[in-house]
Amino acid sequence: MNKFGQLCVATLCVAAPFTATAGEIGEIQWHGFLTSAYLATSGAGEGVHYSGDVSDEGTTKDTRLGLTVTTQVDEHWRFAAQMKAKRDNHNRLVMDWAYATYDHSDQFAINVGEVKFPVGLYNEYVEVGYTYPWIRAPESAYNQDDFGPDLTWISYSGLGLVYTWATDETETNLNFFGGLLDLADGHINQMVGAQVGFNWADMLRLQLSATTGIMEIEEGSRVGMDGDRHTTYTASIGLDMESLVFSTEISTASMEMDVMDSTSGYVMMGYRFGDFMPHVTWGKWDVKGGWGQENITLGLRTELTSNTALKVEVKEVTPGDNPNSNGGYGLFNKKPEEDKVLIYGVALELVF
Amino acid sequence: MKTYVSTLMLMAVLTFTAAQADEVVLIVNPANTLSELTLKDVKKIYLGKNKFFPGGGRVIPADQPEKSTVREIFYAVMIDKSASKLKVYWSKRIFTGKGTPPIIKKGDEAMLAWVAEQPLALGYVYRNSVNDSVKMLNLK
Repeated sequence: MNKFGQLCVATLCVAAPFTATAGEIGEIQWHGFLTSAYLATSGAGEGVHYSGDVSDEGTTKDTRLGLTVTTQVDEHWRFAAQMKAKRDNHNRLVMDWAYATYDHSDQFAINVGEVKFPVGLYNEYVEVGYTYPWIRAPESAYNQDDFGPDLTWISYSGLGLVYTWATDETETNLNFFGGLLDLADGHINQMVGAQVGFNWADMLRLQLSATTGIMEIEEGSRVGMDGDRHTTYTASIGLDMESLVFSTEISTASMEMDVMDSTSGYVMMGYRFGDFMPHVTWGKWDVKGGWGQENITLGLRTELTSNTALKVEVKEVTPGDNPNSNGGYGLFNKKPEEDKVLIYGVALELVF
Repeated sequence: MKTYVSTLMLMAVLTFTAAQADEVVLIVNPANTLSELTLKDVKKIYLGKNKFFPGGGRVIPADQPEKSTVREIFYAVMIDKSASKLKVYWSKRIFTGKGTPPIIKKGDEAMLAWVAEQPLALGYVYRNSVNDSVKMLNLK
């Protein structure tokens, strides 16, 4: 993927100036985002980490910088790629995704390359914290830990066909996609998926998604899942009025090793008071094997400028009673000292 | 739904007064065969949802600088989104590779010069700035 993306960007940088006709076709545009975040648990105990490196000592490893490059190659082809440097990746700049789109018309488009994974209301821009209320998007839908809900990924290598049917105020999208998904310890091969989305005036969004593929895990604690079919279904509702913000998603994931079967979801409600938006989210992740979790989050997002937001948050997590095969409880790497663990966070979000 | 949209438009126009709203016009390159656009078409083009003119042909929309009066009138009448909502809206499109905001042309003079040169252009200026180098579109 990285080699593919780097090749695409290198080709773009060399070719674009020469493909320029009059004006802006061929022009390269750069945009960026920055998240500066601190998260800490309270009551987890020594050596206990939550979803990555969040511990009682605290961490800034959610801090990240992203750069997105886009260009309109000609009247029909456009290209976009995103590079990201993250503290939990030793600040190395890596290619998140890179894909080309052929816009046949306003109704029909084809995506090819390392394409954003189009499942869930927030997944396509989950790295860009500025675009949503929380410091981390709800774990019950968007977590990508090895033993997490496994519903969404940043991108897939493959092809997507998008059909859009629009009226004056509504837009209905059909997205059929397929290819290969990279996991930290393997792949999901022969992945195919479909997503149906409905948008009314950018206020109401409804979405239904389904994906299926074959797990390829050659080593590590999940090697027993090698060759299993992994199937997910997700239903989403998002409402963004002038003041009221509401979203809810429910998903199921199933595998042949049915101890991994899960149902997860969340409900979020927020209300804008000028530049302030307090919000509350309840989420639950039920796993047949018993290592899911329940959490409730209280947060406040404050608009500092037209492109900067400050977020503060406190989350209470109650992990399930049984450990997974790695000894983890919920998204904790091992059993926390307290039955309920608080997670505090503050983040500054910027887009430019 | 149409009543709701019409009410919003009316509110926007009232904010600037109908006379002010009428001062801002859409322009295209003289080679463009189009003579009119609907309000919905304009909104979809400026929000990056439509990438082609009705009937075909790529469109490259251009904006005036943020906080310029002409842009504030145009957005109040045509687009109907607050600045912060627009920032979030474009962030979602930019950082998913789905599109980028319209390019910026600084002032009526720069807009007219660019539209006169660019066959795919769509822009807006004050009515009294329009000259023969561009074609004015009617709004349906």
